[in-house]
Amino acid sequence: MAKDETPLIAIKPGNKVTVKRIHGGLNMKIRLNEMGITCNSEINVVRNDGWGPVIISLSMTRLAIGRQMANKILVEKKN
Amino acid sequence: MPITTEVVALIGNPNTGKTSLFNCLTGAKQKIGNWPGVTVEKKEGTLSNNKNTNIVDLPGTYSLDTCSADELVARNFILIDKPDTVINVVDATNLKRNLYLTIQLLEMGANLILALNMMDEAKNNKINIDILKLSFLLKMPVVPTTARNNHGITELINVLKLNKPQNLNFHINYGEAIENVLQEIENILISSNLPFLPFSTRFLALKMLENDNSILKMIENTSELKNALAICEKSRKELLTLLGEKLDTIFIEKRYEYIDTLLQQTVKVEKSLASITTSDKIDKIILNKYAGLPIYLLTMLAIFKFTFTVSTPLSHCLEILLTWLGNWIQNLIPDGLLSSFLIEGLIGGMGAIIVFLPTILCLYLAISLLENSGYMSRGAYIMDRFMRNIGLEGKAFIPLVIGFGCNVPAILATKTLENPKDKMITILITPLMSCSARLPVYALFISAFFSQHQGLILFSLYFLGIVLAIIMAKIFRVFFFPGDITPLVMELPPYRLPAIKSTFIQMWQEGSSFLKKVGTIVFAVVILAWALSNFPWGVEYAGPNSLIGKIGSFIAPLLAPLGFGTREAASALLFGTVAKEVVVSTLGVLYSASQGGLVNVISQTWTPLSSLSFMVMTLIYVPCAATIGAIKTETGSWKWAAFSVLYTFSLAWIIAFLVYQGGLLLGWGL
Repeated sequence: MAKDETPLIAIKPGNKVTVKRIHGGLNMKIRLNEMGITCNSEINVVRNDGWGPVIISLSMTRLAIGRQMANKILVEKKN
Repeated sequence: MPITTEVVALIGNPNTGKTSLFNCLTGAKQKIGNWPGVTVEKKEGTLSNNKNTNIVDLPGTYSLDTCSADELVARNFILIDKPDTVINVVDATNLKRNLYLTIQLLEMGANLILALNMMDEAKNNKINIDILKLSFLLKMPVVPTTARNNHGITELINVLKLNKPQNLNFHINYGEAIENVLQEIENILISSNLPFLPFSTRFLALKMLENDNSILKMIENTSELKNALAICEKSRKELLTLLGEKLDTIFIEKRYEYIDTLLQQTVKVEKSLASITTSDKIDKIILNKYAGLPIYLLTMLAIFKFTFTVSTPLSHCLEILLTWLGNWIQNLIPDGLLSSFLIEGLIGGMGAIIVFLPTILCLYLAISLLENSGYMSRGAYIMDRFMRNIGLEGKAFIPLVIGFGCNVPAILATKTLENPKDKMITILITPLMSCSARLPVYALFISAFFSQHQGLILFSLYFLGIVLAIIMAKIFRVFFFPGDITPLVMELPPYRLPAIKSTFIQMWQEGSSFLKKVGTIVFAVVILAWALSNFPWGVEYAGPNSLIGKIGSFIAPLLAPLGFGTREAASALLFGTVAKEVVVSTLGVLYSASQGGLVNVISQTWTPLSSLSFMVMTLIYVPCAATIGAIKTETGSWKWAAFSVLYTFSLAWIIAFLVYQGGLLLGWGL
């Protein structure tokens, strides 16, 4: 993991991040891709309760992502 | 001149208002069935003002990468059945993701019309779309619509009439390295004098390079293509080293790049989209860490209450009507085989089905309101964390809760589960939820023996059902449907007011198609039960000499280790498979006692332990005929319906055995 890359699961709500890498199988990657989450897409973390799925926003869309999956999405915080 | 029927397919992402648009185009006249070989629902209708235009509603899907049965159905229909026109419904507020499917459709060579739906929301969010330019750049008609308010439908129909088949050769540039390989494969395809294939060489070359399983299967026996496939294999490896990334990812990224360029030229957004929307504000409360769960449970309770409060009096009215009809026939036709068949068989059978109709309509109304308002996916989000512990996804909670009212609509509600494994497991464990029809049986035995502890006994029975459901869910996951629980990625669509007309059309369609599909099965079982209790003709109804009586005596010994090895108990359980509440009325007939008297007879001839064991048996054993019918409909196979009967019976026998024999050991048998 590069220095400034954090798993999505660790991002607090209200933060804007850029997707850097998606670990995990190809199917998962394709699934995220077709929902609009690709490398370099900018997302906002809307909710992250510490348990249960993370909710992110991607332009007008709101997506719920399971924690397992959120753990494999590496993001970079924006300043 | 023969009239040619034009076929129009409707396709789009979930939550784009595709169903509303379908309802606008076709009106209430629709045919609901299944796609051949799969349980994916197929909806068809004709254009309301032109019967020669057939409209097929394809399953909602985000892409056509064929991971699921839904996507495969949609893709095969477009590739192989080749509809004359494909209307692609897209959400105008969410073009980037929606256009991904559009790009895939264009690559497949579909003759497309883009319906830019939810234009009202796009306007409210200050999203300005240059429709003419979009249409020009994509080289296809683009029609703005708001299906919910019927806006743009006439225009869409006009465009549909004018739309001519086009040969577009839509082309995304995937970069030099990939394009060279594609060209090489295409050359082989062209020179190898292929047998007829229903798609362009460019598309075939693309899919071969992508290693697309379902397309490869179609051509695996074509020897001319061995060479091309070998090149694909080699190129995939070379491109991986050259580009440093898997091809699949590159293809997706290039398509998004194309979309980004397209949107930059056509869409202007006046306010920043990252700002907090009304939906976000509602979510702050509804998805709150602490309040979210209670709100959801209350909503479920409300739906449950609504469904059964509204439907029960309606069902009663229908029953009264049928009784009246029965009496009328009784006065008209003299007693005998014919009148008995008409009254107990025919009308009884119709009654058993019709009483379900109001319940199912109410439930479908509630579910479609939930779905169309956007709350359904919120519920799935809230329950996901809990349901995951028992090995199911969050959405599975809804059918299980409904199961406490009636298993039939509960099993039909598993339609909302996208993952087929999760759906199967949920269907199989739903009969363990103690439905309201089992309550009269508990009431009878509790008032005979346990009036001191009725709350405790009732609670234990419901609780036992839930515990068994959790255990069975785990067992089924391990032995029949192995694999991880689907990781969750789910859209939370903005809250919307559901379109009333569309909601009611949906309710009626689903309800009446249920009657057709399940009705026949229930009817057959009722007629069978009637025949078994009346033959040989002349015996006392369901008496010891009737067929059912003989079967009862025959299987009674099987029930002896459970504490109720009598002909009466066996016959009651047999009849209970028609509908569980029938257990009580059968016992009433067999013990020739009225309700009050029945409690007396039972308290004299049964023991507390045997009645406890019998209640456990009633809870678990064999789903009722209508539930079996619903299981057959939703799983698409008699095999699973039969399995559900066998496993519940075995489980019921084992648990009742443990209760009775365990009780005897503890000395409760006296």
